[in-house]
Amino acid sequence: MDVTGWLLARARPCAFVVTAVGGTGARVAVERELRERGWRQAAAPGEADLLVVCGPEDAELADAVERVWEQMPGPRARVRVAGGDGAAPLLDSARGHLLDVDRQRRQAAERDARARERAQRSDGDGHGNAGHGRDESPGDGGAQGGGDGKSEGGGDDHGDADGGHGQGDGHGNGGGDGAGQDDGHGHGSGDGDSDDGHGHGHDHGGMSMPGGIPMADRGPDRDGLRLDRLHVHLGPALADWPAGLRLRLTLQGDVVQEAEAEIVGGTAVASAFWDVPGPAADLDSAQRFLAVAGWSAAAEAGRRWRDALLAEPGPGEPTRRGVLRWLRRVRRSRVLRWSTDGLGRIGGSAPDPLRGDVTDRWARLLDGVEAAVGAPGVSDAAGRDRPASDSRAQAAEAALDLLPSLVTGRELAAVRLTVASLDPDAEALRAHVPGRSHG
Amino acid sequence: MVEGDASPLSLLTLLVLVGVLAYAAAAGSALLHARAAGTAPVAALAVPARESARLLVQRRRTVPGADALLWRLGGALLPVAAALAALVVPLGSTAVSDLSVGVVWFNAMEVLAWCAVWLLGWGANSVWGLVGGYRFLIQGLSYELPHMFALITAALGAGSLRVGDIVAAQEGVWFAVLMPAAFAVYLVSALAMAFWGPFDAPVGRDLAGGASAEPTGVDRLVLLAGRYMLLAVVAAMAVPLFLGGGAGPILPAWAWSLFKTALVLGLLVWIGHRVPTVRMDRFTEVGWMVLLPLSLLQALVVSVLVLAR
Repeated sequence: MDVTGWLLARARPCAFVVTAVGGTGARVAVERELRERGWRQAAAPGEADLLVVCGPEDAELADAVERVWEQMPGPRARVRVAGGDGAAPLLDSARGHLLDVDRQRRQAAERDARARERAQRSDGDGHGNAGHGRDESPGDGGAQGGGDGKSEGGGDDHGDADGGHGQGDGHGNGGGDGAGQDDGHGHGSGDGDSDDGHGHGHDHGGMSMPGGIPMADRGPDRDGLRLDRLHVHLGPALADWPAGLRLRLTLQGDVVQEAEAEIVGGTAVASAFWDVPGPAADLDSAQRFLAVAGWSAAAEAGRRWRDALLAEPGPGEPTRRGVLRWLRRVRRSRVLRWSTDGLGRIGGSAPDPLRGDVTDRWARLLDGVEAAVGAPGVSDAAGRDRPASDSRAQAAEAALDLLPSLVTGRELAAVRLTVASLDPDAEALRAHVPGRSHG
Repeated sequence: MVEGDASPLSLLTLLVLVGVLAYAAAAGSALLHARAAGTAPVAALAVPARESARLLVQRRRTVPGADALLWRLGGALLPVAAALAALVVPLGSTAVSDLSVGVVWFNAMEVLAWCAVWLLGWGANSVWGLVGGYRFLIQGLSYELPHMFALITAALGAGSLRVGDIVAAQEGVWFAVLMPAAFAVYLVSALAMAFWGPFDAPVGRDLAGGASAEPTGVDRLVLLAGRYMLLAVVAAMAVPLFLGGGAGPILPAWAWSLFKTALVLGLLVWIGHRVPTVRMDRFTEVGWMVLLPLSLLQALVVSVLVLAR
């Protein structure tokens, strides 16, 4: 066996998990498998070698999944896990593809050939960044995202531009994923970088666009400066992100200027995984929140206890003690509290689970877990009487309505924390469309 | 004490030691993670090696519009900065180079990390990288001044910028006892400098990896190795600055240096797993309102002590 194969066989796989609406059961099963095998969950497609898509086939999600796949460097393999059963053999077979050196080599060669072809087509004068495009096709607008897929506009063939562009406008270039101004106006003025930047766009001729990506346009920001506006989509393929949620953001620096929230896909979903509420649902939201808050150890432990609670509906003594210890540790963290206090405050007529700030919401999640697990004997019965799937759908709907106003004017870290604390359950939402029978 | 008794430390030995410590830090981190996940902790010891194997096989990737030179330079700069900073860190009583301005040299090399992370974030032409880069600049503005004052305070106590002199000045009492606030500030800023948790916002998971979102393959390997090396080196420097260098009973000086370094490194790795990420705007507040005045006050107290002595 050659060195590549030898190294590959020893490598620890790293999976990027994308969840479709309706894929919660599959995701939980996959996460459990990954944890038990000691495989890592990637934060971005760039570091992953396995793409795991959880849930039913979904045309609306397919585009985002394809973008993620394009961004994975290889050797790579992909697998769809439709339901909770059979995650293990599917992951095994994906690993098998990963270890098949000949196949990987062949695919890489094909990919390179395609990229070269595209480079020649879009970059007739053979200039510029195309030369670097070893395994990414140049101008593949989505390439820079964390798998979220970038805005659509930055498509393939802007690459005809060349010529030295002014670095003058600082941020624009770095942000470069101005890729896709969906609003159509302006590829900034590549060299001019004067204030009328977005007044004239469109004529690529003689303008330089790094990698064939149009420059960012500009707009006034809150401090009265004119800064580049980046159009970025968060989700639906993003690590530790609610399934199916897409947040269209207009950013200046890392501050959100405009936001829109929507659910991608899942129109055929008829039932929600967390239909029967219990501590596991709250634990699942809590672990995701902790992962976003940058506390991976606590998040990992949360997943472990979530899986334990799902496996044994009436938790045994060791599980109970483990969960309670975990709850104590998370609650005691002053840093967490201090980081989230005052963020994303919701008042007024919002449904109960959404009220308060981010701290209130995660504390409530933990309270829910404790109430269900805390007293021996009572165990899971406590949460199971109320028809929580309806309330989950209501909460998700309210959260979607509130999200844009909550995140506008905040920076990305606050946006992620706010979204994770709301954790809208798109599955419940889809399953409870008024007028559709479900059961 | 131990002045000039040991054989000179060779550059190669130093690099091997830094490498071993960096591996140990990565393995320790994996171990803590495995414990949280409830899986076999023994397997975690091989995790850094297996991750390296994976990254060696993985193809390098180019992002459209990336400034490839700056981008790759950013990642490569980290291990270089760590190795250069390690030159002045004494093992026992010998450093590869005990410069007369050792403390300044060390600080200058650390600051290269700023440059590295910023280039890494900027060069990738990605929102995540760019925002990660922004975050590290803000973090740097918050920790660097307190960090410099902590270093200066140690130098002040010894009346010299030579690391060897600082060790010698602690013959009576360790600077960690004499100037606890400076020691604490040093540890906090050490975490921030190696962008290790709770100060890992520049490479945070909420940013899909931030400045480290785009590098793949060997680029990523070099970046990760550099980060662990940096963590190991800042931990190692805490020993001569605040913990009496190689001073200790029975064991030879170099063994004490290593032992203390391992302890500090273990502490740093553990803190990273125990504390969630601090949001940047909150850390900025603390950096300027608490750490900076604290380190200045500490410097003042030490100055008065030095004058009175």
